[in-house]
Amino acid sequence: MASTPQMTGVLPPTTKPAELEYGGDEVSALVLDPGTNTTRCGFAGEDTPKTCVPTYYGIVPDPEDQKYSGKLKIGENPINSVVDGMEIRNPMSDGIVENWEVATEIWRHCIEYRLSSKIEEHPLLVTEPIWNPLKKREKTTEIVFEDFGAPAYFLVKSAVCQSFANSKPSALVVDMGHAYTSVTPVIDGIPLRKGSERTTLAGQHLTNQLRHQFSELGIRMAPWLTLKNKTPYSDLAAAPPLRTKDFGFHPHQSFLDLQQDRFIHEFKECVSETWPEAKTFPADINNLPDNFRGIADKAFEFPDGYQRRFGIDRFLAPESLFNPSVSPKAITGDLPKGIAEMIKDSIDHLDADIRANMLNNIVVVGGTSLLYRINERLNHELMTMFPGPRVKIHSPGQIPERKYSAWLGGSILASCGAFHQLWISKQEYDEVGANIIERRAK
Amino acid sequence: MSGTVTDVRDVLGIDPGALEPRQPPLKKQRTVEKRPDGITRELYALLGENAPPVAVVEHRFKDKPKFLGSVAPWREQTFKNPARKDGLELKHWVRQSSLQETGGLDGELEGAGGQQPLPLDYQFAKFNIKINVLEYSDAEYDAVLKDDDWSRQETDYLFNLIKEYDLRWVVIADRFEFEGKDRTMEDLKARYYSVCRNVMEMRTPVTMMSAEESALYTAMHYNKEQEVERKRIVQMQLYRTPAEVEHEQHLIAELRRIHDSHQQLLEEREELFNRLDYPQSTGSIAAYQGSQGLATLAQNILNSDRNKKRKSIVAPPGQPAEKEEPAAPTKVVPTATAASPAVSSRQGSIAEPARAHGHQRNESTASASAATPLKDKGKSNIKQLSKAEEAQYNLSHHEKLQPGVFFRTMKMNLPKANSFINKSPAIMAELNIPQILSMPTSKTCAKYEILAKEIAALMDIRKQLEKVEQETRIFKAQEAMGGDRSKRSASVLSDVSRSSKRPKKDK
Repeated sequence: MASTPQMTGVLPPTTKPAELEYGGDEVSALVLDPGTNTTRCGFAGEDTPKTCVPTYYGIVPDPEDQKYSGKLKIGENPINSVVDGMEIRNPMSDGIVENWEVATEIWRHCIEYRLSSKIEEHPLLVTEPIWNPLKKREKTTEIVFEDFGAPAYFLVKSAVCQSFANSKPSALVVDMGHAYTSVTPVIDGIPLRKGSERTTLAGQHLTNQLRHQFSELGIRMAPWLTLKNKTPYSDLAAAPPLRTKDFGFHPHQSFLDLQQDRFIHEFKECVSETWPEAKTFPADINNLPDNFRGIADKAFEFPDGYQRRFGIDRFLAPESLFNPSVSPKAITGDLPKGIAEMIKDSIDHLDADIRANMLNNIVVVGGTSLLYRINERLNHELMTMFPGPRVKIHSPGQIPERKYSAWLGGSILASCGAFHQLWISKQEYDEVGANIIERRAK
Repeated sequence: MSGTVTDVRDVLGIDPGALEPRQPPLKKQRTVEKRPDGITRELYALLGENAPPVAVVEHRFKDKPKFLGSVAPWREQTFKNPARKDGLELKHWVRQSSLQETGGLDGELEGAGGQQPLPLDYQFAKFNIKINVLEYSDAEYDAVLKDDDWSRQETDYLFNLIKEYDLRWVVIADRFEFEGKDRTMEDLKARYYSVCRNVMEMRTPVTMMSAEESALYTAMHYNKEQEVERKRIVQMQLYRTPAEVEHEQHLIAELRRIHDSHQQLLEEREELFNRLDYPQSTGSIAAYQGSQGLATLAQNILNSDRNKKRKSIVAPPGQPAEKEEPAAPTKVVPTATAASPAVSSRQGSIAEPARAHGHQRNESTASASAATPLKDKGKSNIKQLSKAEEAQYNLSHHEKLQPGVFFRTMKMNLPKANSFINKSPAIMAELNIPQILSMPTSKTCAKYEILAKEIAALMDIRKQLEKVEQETRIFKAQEAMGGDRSKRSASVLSDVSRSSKRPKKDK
């Protein structure tokens, strides 16, 4: 009967779907996952991206180049070499593409130079953040079809990819990236708009906090590239003079900042640690209560040879992700919500029936989620907030899976046999125009 | 080759002297043939001196793996997905043999890759599933679907969303944006289900629906208030404070404890009852009432006793008990003339106990026969008692009592009428007689029965009297009114009778 909401053509549950259990069908698609820090690209069906190119690019002033008013430097090596007047910029802003010319160049660099593939031969899957506005989505579509000439293309929300990468059709995806930490509920592969939250409490925030913390301590943050050699010392007052390389010019400040970010990144990886419990972090770290004295110190050597042991202060920057009021560098403007509060807000926006399910399927991914014990903290916070229902955090154990989760999900999706009917083809684009993206990929 | 072996031994630090016994293997080959009985070949092979387990490594590459048959070629193949309308052609790699199996490629394949026919059916196209969402016509909308709160456009928009998101209500509620209206999921569901119900009802009246349709029709019933309330409770349950959760867990533990102890109590009580309960006789005891019967009974008991005892007596002597047991009950009891060797071999040991039992049996039958005359004697000696004496000794003659414990008051023969049960307490109270007899002897019980019967009779009479009085009153009234009014009073009467019937009907 017509009004019955029943499915047609479904296999009866007793019949085994022969040869389709794998469900994959490779059409040699490419997957591109642009982020603020790095742009990941690779072949669909593989488990890690083939290439991971920094999204930061260098621009060397060149009066002959009209297009970019300078020469573009794209890739790991070019942007990390000392060039006179090279300025480091980022084509992304707010987690989405701002400078389309350069972003296109970077994507082309990834596909043509790094993957040595011809764009016009492969279907292309691109990921986007959930807050990507319609205009930008249309622009992406235009670029892919007009500039790249791809035969087929699809734009998919990175949160959906991340939940797929963790083999979950429905999950509450917490993506702690470089520029943003976002919380997105995904139901059957469809992200919900109400209940999606984001905050700048992410990797970049941590870097800035640490940079401030170091300068407060009076540490000279000269990057490796600018130093001739180093002399180990541990007393700041008796610091030996810096022996810097003489390049014959002064590198651009943005270049020096990027180089500083590199050792701060190292600090984040090996010294920073998250306080594992909610609401017990000491308010005044200079006046510690007795029970906090046993915290293990960790040593770190800065590029200029300064060695220092970090105690409770190595917890400070990660703590500011959960409790922004303790940030070493005071946050200007309204104080953002901590990550745990943000997750709670997101849950509060959801329908009462799916909340328990979402709490049971929290997927935590992104590079910043690799901070030591951050999941423990998150779990503790959520357990305190929701003592009744079962809270379960799913986070891939493998580091690449955590960092490239969105790419991996895209790779799974693009090599899935049932997905091939979703591609937007060149023909459809020619018929409808860039607006097809709004109709087909919601 | 032997050179390499010595090298290896050198490297491994094995004494070169150990190399000497390498000659014996040839001899050993011969001794193997003469291996003594009782030692397995494998075990014997381990005896004596063995060459140390050194692998001989040849300096050459691994053999080429031997594949069965030739490798099936893979071919990059364009395919179309029937689930797509635009005819997009994508390429994937297909194994040639599987292509031939499915009939996707013809024999021409060998020729060239230029002309490649497409496989007829794309295997993943069948996952393109859409649900059927009800559709309504303009006429239908105007007839039954109009709603003050919902415009036609908004309803259409809702149904499009439902079609697009396959009835995933969470997503539909998330994406629903119509002229800035704030609709909850319950609003949307209520509208959708009411539309479905109305349209269904219009197309087929409820009475004409098939079982399937009417099941769907009832399933479509949506109670919005109830659903809102349910969600509120779900939410409350989700946001319990730690103290509440703890309290709840404590209560659950307590409940479980109470339940367990209750269960234990029941079990103990049942066990006690079982212990107190005497075994109920199943058969009739008529067969054992005579002396003859008693004698057989005694013999039966003896027989079963003997069977039981024999095991304990027979088992100890040297013979294996396991062979003994199965045969014992059937074969030994008769005489010792059995022909089978097994039985005759056992005879000696069994004969004695058997004899002993025979002796016992004789004794017991003797005692039984001695008991019977006594009983006969007692029967003839029964003394006839007078009524006064019977009363004095509290003897009574009554019907056969049923086994089990009961109260005498339970056996009283009281009137069963409802009116008696309802009204007797009042009358009893009036007479100053307790409802439950404090001393229910047979006499008091008999008296009580008589009294109850009398009360019942009294109530019956009273009822009759009332009835008659009522009738006379009515007739008097009729007489007084006379003429037309008599009809009205008759109708009143019929009303009265109807009202008196109604409660019965309700029951």
